[in-house]
Amino acid sequence: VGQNLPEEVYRHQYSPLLFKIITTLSITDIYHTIYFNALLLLLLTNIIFCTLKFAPKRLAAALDTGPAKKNYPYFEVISTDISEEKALSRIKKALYRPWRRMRIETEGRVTVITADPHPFLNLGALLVHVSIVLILAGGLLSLLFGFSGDMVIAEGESTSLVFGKTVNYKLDFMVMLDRFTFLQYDDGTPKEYKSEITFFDGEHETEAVITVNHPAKIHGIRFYQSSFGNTFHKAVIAVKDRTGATVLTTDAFPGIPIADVGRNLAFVIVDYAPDYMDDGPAVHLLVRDGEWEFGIWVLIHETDPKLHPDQTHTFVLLDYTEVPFSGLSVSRKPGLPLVWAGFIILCVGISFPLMLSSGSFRAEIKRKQKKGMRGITLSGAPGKIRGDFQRRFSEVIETVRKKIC
Amino acid sequence: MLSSRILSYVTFAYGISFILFIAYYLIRKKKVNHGADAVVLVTFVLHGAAIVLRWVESYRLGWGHIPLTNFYESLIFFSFALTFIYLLFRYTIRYDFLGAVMMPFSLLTLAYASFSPDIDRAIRPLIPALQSNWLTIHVITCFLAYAAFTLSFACALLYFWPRRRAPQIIPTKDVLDELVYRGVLVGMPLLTMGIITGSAWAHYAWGAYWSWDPKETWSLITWIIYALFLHARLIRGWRENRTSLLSIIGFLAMLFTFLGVNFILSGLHAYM
Repeated sequence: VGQNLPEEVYRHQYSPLLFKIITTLSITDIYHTIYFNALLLLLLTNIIFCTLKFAPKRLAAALDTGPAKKNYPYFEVISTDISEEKALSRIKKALYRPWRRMRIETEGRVTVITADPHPFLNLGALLVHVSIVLILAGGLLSLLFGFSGDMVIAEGESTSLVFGKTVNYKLDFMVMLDRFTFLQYDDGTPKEYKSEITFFDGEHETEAVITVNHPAKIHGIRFYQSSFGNTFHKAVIAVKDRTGATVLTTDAFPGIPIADVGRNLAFVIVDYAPDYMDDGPAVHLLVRDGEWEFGIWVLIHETDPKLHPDQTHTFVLLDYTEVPFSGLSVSRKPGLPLVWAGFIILCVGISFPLMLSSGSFRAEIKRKQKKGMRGITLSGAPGKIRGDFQRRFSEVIETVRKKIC
Repeated sequence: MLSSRILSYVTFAYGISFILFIAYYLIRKKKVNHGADAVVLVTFVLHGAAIVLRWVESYRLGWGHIPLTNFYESLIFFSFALTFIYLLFRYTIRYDFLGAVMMPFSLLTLAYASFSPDIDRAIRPLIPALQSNWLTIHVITCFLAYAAFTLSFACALLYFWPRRRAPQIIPTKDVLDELVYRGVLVGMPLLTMGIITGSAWAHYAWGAYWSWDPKETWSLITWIIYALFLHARLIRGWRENRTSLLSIIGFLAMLFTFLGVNFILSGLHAYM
């Protein structure tokens, strides 16, 4: 089911019964329903308890500094005549990987090199779960203590009103749109939407430029370029009497009444349509003509034909001007630092299992008592993936053999 | 455009490498397999060069952007990522059957991009939302993840292939199980990075790091399926049959995230 579409779309797509069901259950905006968010809360609770359950074991494994106690099911003896030091350094080099813990222990005549996945890698699952908790907690924090909405400002005007999804907010500073620029490539593709803004908190003015991908931030509130368009600004209205003679030509701004006391006439623009009933631009006037009050749509360059019996004047829209407006998304998300921290930890933690899967290796070098060949025992144990470890172990043997023989 | 012409040659070269990989199973000579790999390696370099050339061409047109911004370019890069993942596995884990399994995916993806009449191959200027450095890292990580999941899927399919028909050719179950798992192990961090970088980008471009856009929702579904795979394997000890099945389901979800969402649903990723 498409989300947040106009109601007509659903009416057109679904039968009346289905429409009623999906609207009653808010399936048209499912991600903001109480039951969906309750599910997310359950998930958060579940992850927290799971994490608490396995965390001590993982932490102990990560901090384990004891000797490697692994059983090595695969082993092979390689004979070499190079010195113990050389053998040691070359085997160490062959087994080294950045994520392996290399340890060298000497006991009597035997030196043992072990190369295991670093115990720290055991923290992978813990990091992933903690990060998800952080991300969800950050989202919850923003939901409870933050807000988001939209702000529409015409060029040259200012506002502090943010229209939220259900509630509107009033900022404690004004936002003024100094200039809006819309640039296009030669082929007509949009290139840039740019709002030049001034924030004014009663004492200080701060200027900012907002483009897509480059929001502005002030007092912890972020402003993003979201939409744009043109809005009606001013009309030139001509008033004619019953003979058709123009008696008044005036500039008219929406919401500001025009009065002609001598003719006992007053009118105000209450609405504007860029294309009224496919007949072009028109303004909606509320008129008081003598004792009569009525509303009337006035088309451009066209005298209002419907003369009311008691109406002594007609109106013509001679000209009009539009100004650009900018739509800004406005939000304050106090949980954002938690979300970012969660993102980074998630990226790190989720790559640990890959390194943990490489298997463990052990080389046992015995000190020679007299001249001759030295036997080096190389053993291996698969990590989390057994797969064809035997073949990979043979490859390690081959690499070591090349280095020390 | 020269880059498109090179890419059609690259398609044929992938085809040749695939034929050589198949020939290897018929005549069983290691040299044929090495020859096929050499062809893949050279073709991969050529493929990369064509992508760089398209990048240069976009600068000549005065727009200058990385060629990862529309459906055609995403298919070209997906094919490149598939070959990259193949080469990565080929030269680290060294299974010689992988070429025959992975090359058809690189080949088909690139052939669809190069020869389908429905795809617009022109270089277009970038709309404001796409003008971000996050684009590069987001697209690269996502497609590398898709490629790793494709490898896992291909091995999972092979796992279910009737072994008695070609016992000499199909690798052992242990090997396939390992590759199914490794594909997911490589893909999962990449997909996570892809989703997170996309989220960070959305934060700057749209003002919300998560909007429940269909693409976002389906990428989360894909991520959850592969997370389920990892849990099943690591906690419940699932292996072979069951994890292979999960890999196939994950791949289908991934395919829907990549293609289905754009063709069937509408949302903020409409330009892909």
